[in-house]
Amino acid sequence: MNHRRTGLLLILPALATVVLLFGGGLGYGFAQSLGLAGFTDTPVGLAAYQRVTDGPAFTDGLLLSLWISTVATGLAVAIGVAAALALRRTAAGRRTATFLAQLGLPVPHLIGAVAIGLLLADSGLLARAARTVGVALPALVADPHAVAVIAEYVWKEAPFVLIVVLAALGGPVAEHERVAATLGARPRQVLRHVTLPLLAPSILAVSVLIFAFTLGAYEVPALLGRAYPQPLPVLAYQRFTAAELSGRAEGVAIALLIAAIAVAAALAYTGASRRAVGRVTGARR
Amino acid sequence: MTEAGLTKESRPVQEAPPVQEAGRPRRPLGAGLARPTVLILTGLWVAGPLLPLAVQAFTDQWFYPDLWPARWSLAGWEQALGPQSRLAEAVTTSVGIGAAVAALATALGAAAGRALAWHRLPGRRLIELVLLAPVLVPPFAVAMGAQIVYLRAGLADSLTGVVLAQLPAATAYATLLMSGVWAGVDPALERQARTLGAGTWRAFREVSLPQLRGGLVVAAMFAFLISWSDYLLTLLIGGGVVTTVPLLLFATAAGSGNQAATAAIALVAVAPPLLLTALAARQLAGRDTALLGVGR
Repeated sequence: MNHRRTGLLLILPALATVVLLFGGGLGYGFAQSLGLAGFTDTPVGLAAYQRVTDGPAFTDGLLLSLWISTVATGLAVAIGVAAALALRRTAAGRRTATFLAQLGLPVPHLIGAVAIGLLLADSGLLARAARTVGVALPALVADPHAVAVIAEYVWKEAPFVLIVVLAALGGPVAEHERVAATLGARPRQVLRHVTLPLLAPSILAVSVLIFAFTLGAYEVPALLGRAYPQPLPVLAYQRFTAAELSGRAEGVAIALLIAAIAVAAALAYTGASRRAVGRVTGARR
Repeated sequence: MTEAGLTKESRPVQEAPPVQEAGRPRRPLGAGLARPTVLILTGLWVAGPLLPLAVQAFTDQWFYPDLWPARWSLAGWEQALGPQSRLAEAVTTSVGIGAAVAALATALGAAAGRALAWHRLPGRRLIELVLLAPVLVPPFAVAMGAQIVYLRAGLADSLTGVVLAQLPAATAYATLLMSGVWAGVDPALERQARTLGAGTWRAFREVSLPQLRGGLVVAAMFAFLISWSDYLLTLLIGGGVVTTVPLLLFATAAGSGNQAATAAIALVAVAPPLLLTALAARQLAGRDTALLGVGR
C-alpha cells in the first residue's frame, strides 16, 4: 500500500473538519465583513471596517484589549517563571507543583471570573479583609484599569506558565548551566546568560498563547469589565447582536481584526524563538 | 551567551568554592527560596479563589463587612436545583455535547496523529499550520461568520450545530496531542505483527492500541473539557436555546444578583474538570505539557 496515500487518508478527516468548519466560517465571515455575503445591507467594500474603526469606541476598546493582554501576559509569565525556578531543584517539588498547577488548568475561565468577582467586588472578601485592617480599597471590578479581568487571567495562566517552564527546565538546560558554573559563572550570570535564554523559546511560546487567548476572550471582561470602554471581543459581540443589520458585518469585522493581531503576534514569535535558541547554543533550529 | 561576559568573570576552577559531588552545579538563583513555602503558595494560588465559592454557596446572609457568613443556608442550592432551575437539564446538555465532541475529536485526532507521527506527508508544514489555526484564532470569529450557514442548514439552535461548532478546536488539540503519543509508539512492532500474518486493523488493535490507551484517555478528556468550558460558541450557534452549564452560570452571575445560587452553579460546573484532572494526573504526568494549553 502506498505509504504517503495512507497518511493523507488518515489525516484527511481531521484536516477537513478544521478546514471546513473553521476555515469555512472564517472565510464566510470575511466575505460578510466585505458586504459580499450574508444578511447584510453593507455595501461591497471596506465600509464595515471603516464604520467600526471610526470613532472612539474601537480605539478605546483596542487600547483596553492590548492593555489587558499585555499586562496579564507579563504578570503571568513573571510569576510562573519565578515559581518554576524556585521549585525546580527536587523531583518531588516539581511533581507536586505540576500536579497542583494542573488542577487549576481545566477550570473554565467563566468560573474563574465568578470566583474572582466574589473576591474582588466592592463587597468582596478582599474589601472585607481590607476594611478590618482599616484600609479602603478602590473599585477593582468594573474599574478603569480592568484589575479584576487581569487578575482572573493571571490567576489562570500563571500555573500554565509554571508547568511549561518546569517541563522545559527538565531538558538540556541543566547541562548548559553546569558547564557555565564549572567555567566560573556566578549564579546570577548563569541565570541571565544561560537559563533564561534557554527558556526563552518556551516562555515566548507560552506568552503568545496567553496573549492570543486573552485578546479574544469574551466571558471574563463581559462579566468583570465596565460598560465603556469595552475590550474588542465584547464590542464585537455587542455589534454582532445589535438590532440593526449592518451590525453583523461590523461584529465580524472586529472579530477578524482581533484574529489578525493574534496571528501577527504568533508570526513575530516564530522569528524570535529561532533567534533566541541560536544565541545560546550557537545552533540554528 | 556572550563569551566575553563569561571570560571576564571567570576564575580558575581551583579558586571556586569546592565543587560538590561530581558535576553538581552551584545552586542557581531562586533555589534559596524555601521550597515548601513556594509549594504552599502554589496550592493557595490555585485553590484560594475557588474556596470562597464553597462558602458562598451555603449562605444566604453574608453582609458586608462580615468576614464570615452570619447564617448558613441551603437557599442557594434550592434555587440552583429547584423546580424553577434548569441546572439538571443544563448538565445533561453539557455532558451530551461534551461526550459527542470528545468521541469525534479523539477518533479524528487519533487517525491524524498517526499520520503526522509515522507518515511522510506532502505539505506537512501547511497541514501543521492549519491544525494550529484554531489554537490562535479566537473561535468566536469563526462562529460569527458561520452562524448564517448554520441558520440556513437548520443547524442553528440545535445540539448538532453546537457540537459542530466546538469540534474544530477540540480536533486540533486532540491531533496535536495524539501525534505526540504516536511518536512514542514503535512502528516496527505493527510491521512485525503484519509479517506474522495479522491484518492492518488487527495489527493496530492488538499492538498499537494498548500503547495508545493513556493518550486516548487524555485526548478525550481534553476535548470534553474544551466543550464543557465553552460559552460564546454555544451562545452564538445554540442561540440561547441550547442551554449548557456555562450559559446558565453566566446568566445567573450577570443577571440574578443571587450570589449563593451563582456559587452553587459554579461549584457544579467546576467539579468535573477538577475530578477528571485529579483522576488523570498519572496519565498527564508524562505528556508533552505544552499541550495543556488546552486548559487556557
